[in-house]
Amino acid sequence: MKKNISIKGIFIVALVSLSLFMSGCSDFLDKLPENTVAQEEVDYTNLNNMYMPVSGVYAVAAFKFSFWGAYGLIAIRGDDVDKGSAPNDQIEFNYAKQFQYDRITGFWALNSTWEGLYNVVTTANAALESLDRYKENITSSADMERYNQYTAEVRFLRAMAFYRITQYWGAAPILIDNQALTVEKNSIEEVRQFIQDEMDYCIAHLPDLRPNEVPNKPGAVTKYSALMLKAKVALLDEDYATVLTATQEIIDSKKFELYPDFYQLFKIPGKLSNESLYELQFTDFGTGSGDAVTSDAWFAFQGPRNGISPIQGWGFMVPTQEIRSFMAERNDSVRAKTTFLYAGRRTPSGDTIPPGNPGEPDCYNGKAYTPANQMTPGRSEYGMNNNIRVFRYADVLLMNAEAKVRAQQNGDEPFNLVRTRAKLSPITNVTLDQILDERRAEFAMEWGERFFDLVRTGKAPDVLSGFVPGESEYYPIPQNQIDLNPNLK
Amino acid sequence: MKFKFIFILTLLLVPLHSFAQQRISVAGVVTEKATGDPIIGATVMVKGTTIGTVTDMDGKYMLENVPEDATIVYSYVGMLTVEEPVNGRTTINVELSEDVQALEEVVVIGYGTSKSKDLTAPIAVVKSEDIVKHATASPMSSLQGKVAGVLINNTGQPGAGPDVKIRGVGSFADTQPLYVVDGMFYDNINFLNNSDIQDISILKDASAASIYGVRAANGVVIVTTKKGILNAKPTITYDGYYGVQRATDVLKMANSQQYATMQLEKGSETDKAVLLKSIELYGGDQTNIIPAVSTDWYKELLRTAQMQNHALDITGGSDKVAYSVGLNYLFQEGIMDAVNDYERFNIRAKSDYFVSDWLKIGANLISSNVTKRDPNNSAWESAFVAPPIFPVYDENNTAAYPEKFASPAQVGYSTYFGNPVATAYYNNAKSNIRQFLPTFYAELYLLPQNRLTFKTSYNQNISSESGRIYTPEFRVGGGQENTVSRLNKYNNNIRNWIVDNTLTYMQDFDKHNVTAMLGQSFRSESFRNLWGEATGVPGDFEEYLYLSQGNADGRKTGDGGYTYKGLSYFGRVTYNYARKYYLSATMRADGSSKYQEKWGYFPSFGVSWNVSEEDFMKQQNFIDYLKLRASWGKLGNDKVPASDGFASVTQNLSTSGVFGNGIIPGYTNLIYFSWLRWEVINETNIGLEANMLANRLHLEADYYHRMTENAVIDAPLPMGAGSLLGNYGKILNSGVELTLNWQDKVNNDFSYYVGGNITTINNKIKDLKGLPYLYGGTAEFRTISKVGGPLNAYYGHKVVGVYQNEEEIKNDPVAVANGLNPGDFKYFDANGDKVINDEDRVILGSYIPDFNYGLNAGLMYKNFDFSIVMQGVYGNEIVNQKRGLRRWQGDINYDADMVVNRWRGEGSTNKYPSAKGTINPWNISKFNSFFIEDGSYFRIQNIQAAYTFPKKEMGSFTMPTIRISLTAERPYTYFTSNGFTPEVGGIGFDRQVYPLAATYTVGLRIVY
Repeated sequence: MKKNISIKGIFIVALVSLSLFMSGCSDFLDKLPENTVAQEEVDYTNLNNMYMPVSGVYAVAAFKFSFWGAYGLIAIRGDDVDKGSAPNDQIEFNYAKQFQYDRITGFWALNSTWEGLYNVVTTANAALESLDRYKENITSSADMERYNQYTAEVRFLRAMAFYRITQYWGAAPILIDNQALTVEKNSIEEVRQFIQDEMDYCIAHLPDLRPNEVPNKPGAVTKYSALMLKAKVALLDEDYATVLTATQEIIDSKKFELYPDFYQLFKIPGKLSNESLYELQFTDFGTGSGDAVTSDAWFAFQGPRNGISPIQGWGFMVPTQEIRSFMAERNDSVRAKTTFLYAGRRTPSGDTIPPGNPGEPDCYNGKAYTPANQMTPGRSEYGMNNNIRVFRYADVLLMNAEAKVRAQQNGDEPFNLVRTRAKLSPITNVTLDQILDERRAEFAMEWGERFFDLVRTGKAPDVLSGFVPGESEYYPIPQNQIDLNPNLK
Repeated sequence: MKFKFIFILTLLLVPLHSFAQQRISVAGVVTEKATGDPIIGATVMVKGTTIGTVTDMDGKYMLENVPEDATIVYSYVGMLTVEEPVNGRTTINVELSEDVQALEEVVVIGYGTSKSKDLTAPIAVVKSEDIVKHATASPMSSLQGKVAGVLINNTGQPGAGPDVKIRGVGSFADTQPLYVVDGMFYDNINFLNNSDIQDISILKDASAASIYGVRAANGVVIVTTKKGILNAKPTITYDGYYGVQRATDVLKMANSQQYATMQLEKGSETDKAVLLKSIELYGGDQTNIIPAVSTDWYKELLRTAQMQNHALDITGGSDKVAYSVGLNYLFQEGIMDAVNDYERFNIRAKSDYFVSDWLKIGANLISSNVTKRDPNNSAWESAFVAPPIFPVYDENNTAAYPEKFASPAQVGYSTYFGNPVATAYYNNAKSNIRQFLPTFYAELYLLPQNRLTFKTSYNQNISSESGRIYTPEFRVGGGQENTVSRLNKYNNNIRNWIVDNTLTYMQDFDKHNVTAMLGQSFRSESFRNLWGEATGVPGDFEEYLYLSQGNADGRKTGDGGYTYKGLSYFGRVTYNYARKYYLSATMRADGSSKYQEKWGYFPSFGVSWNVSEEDFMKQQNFIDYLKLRASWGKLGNDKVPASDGFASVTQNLSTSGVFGNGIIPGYTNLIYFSWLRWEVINETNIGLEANMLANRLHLEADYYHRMTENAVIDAPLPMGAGSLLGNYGKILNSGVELTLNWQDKVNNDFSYYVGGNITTINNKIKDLKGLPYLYGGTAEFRTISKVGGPLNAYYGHKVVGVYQNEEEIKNDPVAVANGLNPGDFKYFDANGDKVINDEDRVILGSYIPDFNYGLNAGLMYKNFDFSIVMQGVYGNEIVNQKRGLRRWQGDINYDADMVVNRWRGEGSTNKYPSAKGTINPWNISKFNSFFIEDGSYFRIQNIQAAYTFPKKEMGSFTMPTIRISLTAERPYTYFTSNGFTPEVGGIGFDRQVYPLAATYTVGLRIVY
């Protein structure tokens, strides 16, 4: 009998424990995911954090705009830039240079460029949505003003992405709704009008300051960055009246001046100078190790081959013989010293650039060069802690001069400011051709400026071999993107 | 859950069977069928009662009080059980035959056991003997080629386990099966030693696996570690081996002369200058431009490595306690000549206590302690690309420190190149992995004859890994340098536990046999990770490697983790009528905290028919055993993420804008988001098992049809918005598994066996939620998953030949348009528009084989035994991505095959490009069939020869049984692809695969 009792006892205990397990677990499966904060948890009532999404767009824009493949594609087509590096490395840049666009529809860098620029667009769209959610909690007019300014900053960076998009592809989708990704293309005119309209909003709401004097966030975009972008888009469209009014407004603010030393302008001392209207900013926080924010290999892409760190890179996007002869003929020695980084020589800053092998570059882009003695000791990456100059006051002056001459006015004053900074003697009654030559020298190796000047002035077919008007202006949309969104066909 | 209690109550109320028949005495002799010898100690029981006895020295028995209509069951270890209806007879003589095909064997199934012949599902069992004979660090590696339906892809890296796929590839996500070790769930069993294992059951189909519900989609591997036996004298076994490993089939690279030939034929001044520079620095033939130094980088990187394993087991039991304890040690060096090895020390103890006739308890502990020093695998790729024309060391390389390695930059190579030996040398990665598997269980027998059993168990996996990666300060040159030393330390902790409660009821009602099981399980899986990084840590001694020794500035830390919880209810009913007609049904309800949708339901059904039990089968003696079976079931795969996208805010350095010299904290909150759910597999299986010709021939055949639904697919979004996972796909895997084994004991001195298995896999995408295809791979090496095609098929241009002469070029508008030369590839114009562009891409191959197979044979003659295992796969392709690297860097080295076979004028080859063609983007920047190679192979997996010295009495001392063996593991592989091994894993991209080695060992086993 004893045994039976214990069996029973055990049996009951077992069943009870089983049922206890079963009943105590209604909330057993309710568990938040570890180590992530859900978007719904962002405290939109905390207006102190309202700048965070804006800062996020700056970060994404600085990285994506400095993507080396994108830079190669925008720079390669002018008569100032050769592919460089080993003859067969990234050969597609040569096809781009020869305007054989049907050979690059599958080029990975073209696709990455598209993805990167639209990534800036979608990030900006998302930031605007966040800002709108903060806005719901705004009660004071000061906060409302901040909201307006922040949205203007984001909209500038988004328009900047569209500016690049229209430089590469001409017609492209204006994507402003992140949920509608299978968009169709907008026309060139629509894209450019969109940027112009956006700039009118930005001009109205961005601070009336030079970027390097924006309190607490030096280098943030301002009203003048927006005026500049407006002028640049107008220039693409040969809308010289708009170019004139926009550049004149910048000049009349008397806030900007050319950085006196053209050579140092592109180096650490020239970071965020009074000449700068927009820069892609990076930093090593002044420490020799640990975290650093760097470009997407923009510097390394253009650094000299076979060098010793930190003066070394992959040797792409090098000056052509044409631009070197052109500078030599003009005796443009300051600009030549700045623009050309000769292999096998010592630089003015004291670095030795190793000689190139036969068939490889004997000269690199000096505007992407940061001397070793200006770098934070301990850092070994070429160009680290330097910024990338995008919009400069020199461009404002030369655009202004050109617009004036085209409007039958005298452009000497803005023109000669730029020219004398380069230690060249002034010219009176400057002509259009002289201005274009000055632009060619001043902006050599910078952001494909030369190519876009040649296209808008109709000189491209004469200067660029293989250029076919009506076909060569814009890159094809990457095959991969058409595969994903047939509306782009 | 109410129905459960009602069910239990019903069982309790079942009346006990009463006996009211006439009782008689039965006697007879039990003999062995093959020899006619009497069997001593065979068990003779009256079925369904406790009346029983054992046979005496002459095989005789005598039972009294036997009901006239009873059935007597005769059984003996290793023999097939025989049931004889008494039918009033008083003398019954019985012949037992050897259970060659293990039909009586008890097979471990999910939450229970079953006799092999009672199964309605295909379950493969691999025994200890077949595992320990392999010199492998991971037990799963030893199963390669052994089991139909299981495809194992081994890797040579010490401590890295194989890739295991059961019945095809049904998911873009994880396809590794679930491992259940003594009740605990694992993702792999690499922590176990081959000698820790008693047996491995592989549940291949849904009706067997679906009792594991949402974890079971990729198949379930149940591992039982060694356990003791009641009433057994302690057996002490030492099993060990010592051996060496050598890389086989080392890829032959171009030597300096061959490399120089290629470079010169390309006609580039740059390439010539580099060759001349090498001659200037290291000598050579100036006129013909052949550098004297010719470094074979693979040879420099490889070594003959040792491997040893020692295992000690003690197993035994009294009448109340069964125990098994063991310890083992494994040490394996990697074949990369660097700090690269794997050391494992395991201790294991398992005991079962039969406390009383209604209670049994047991506890088990396995502890595994691993020290692993991983190599820098990028050295393999570096060795492939590094040209032979610079040496390993160069005393004149003044920039190099601390070691005087030569740098490719010295002869003029770009920063793309490095010295592979330096890459391997300046690497210091070490981790300690400690794993504990403590389990406890109690079994209560609530009704007589174990008819109702309650079992509760608590199983845990407590693991930790602490590791470091240290990169010292060094310089080789040309970008191969590290200017400040860097130490990364990490700690990973896992704590998983499972509580299982099951109630099992067994009852025979005349010819109706029922087993029912109800169960419930909780589980929790937690992972935590913490890491830190510092620079400037001095590395002179191991003892210095602490983050605190590094620079205070710029230290980084991070952490992460997850916790998932699961709650499940499950049940199984198996029923058979007269052991002829079988029916089984299982159901599992799985709740998971991981997903939005918490609950999933996974039913299964199986039927089988033991045809050989039918009377009409008794007339013949060709077929001894025949079973037909069919099953259907549903399985889940929870190895897919719970959600995807950016519902959460990303906030880090790359989302914070730089302003001046600092950042302003920022975030990005892109909003592409989807909730996911587990993948579901519906599987149907039809099969048969048969034993023929006196149980010597065993045949097993199965057809499987597995449809994955809700397959999670990473679909790219347009406009650079990234990609987003969704439950979009339907993937079908179907095929046939066939196993055929013959074994025969010719006489007491000689026996042998031969066998083989083959599995076909047909992998097809059935639906992608309306999309016609999805891209995978990379932009340069595209894969495509097309509806109607296989998963991740290689997608590119098909090379149809090589242009042979100018005439051919002139006549082909494609060649003219692209400026091609003789020696360049001619591509297939798929749409016939006389233009070659992306629209002409076609499917070039797939990494999924058409079939895989295994063969094995063995013989035992007196004290000798010999066995051989062979296996292979057929019909898969691999991508020679190493050759594809040339698209990024034209001057990388060539494998010798490409030099020897290059196009050298009209008619020389229609397959290989010319030297110049090897750098023409037309040939290399388009992913094409030149880079696709046949992945089929045949391998002799294992050969073992052994001699056993039998136990000998020497006076009062008994010599133990000693077995000495010689084993060759993977001594030979036949394959045609240009790599070290055709087993490249993943989706078949051969880029920096750790080479597989052949292992030759001498083994010793002592059983006392």
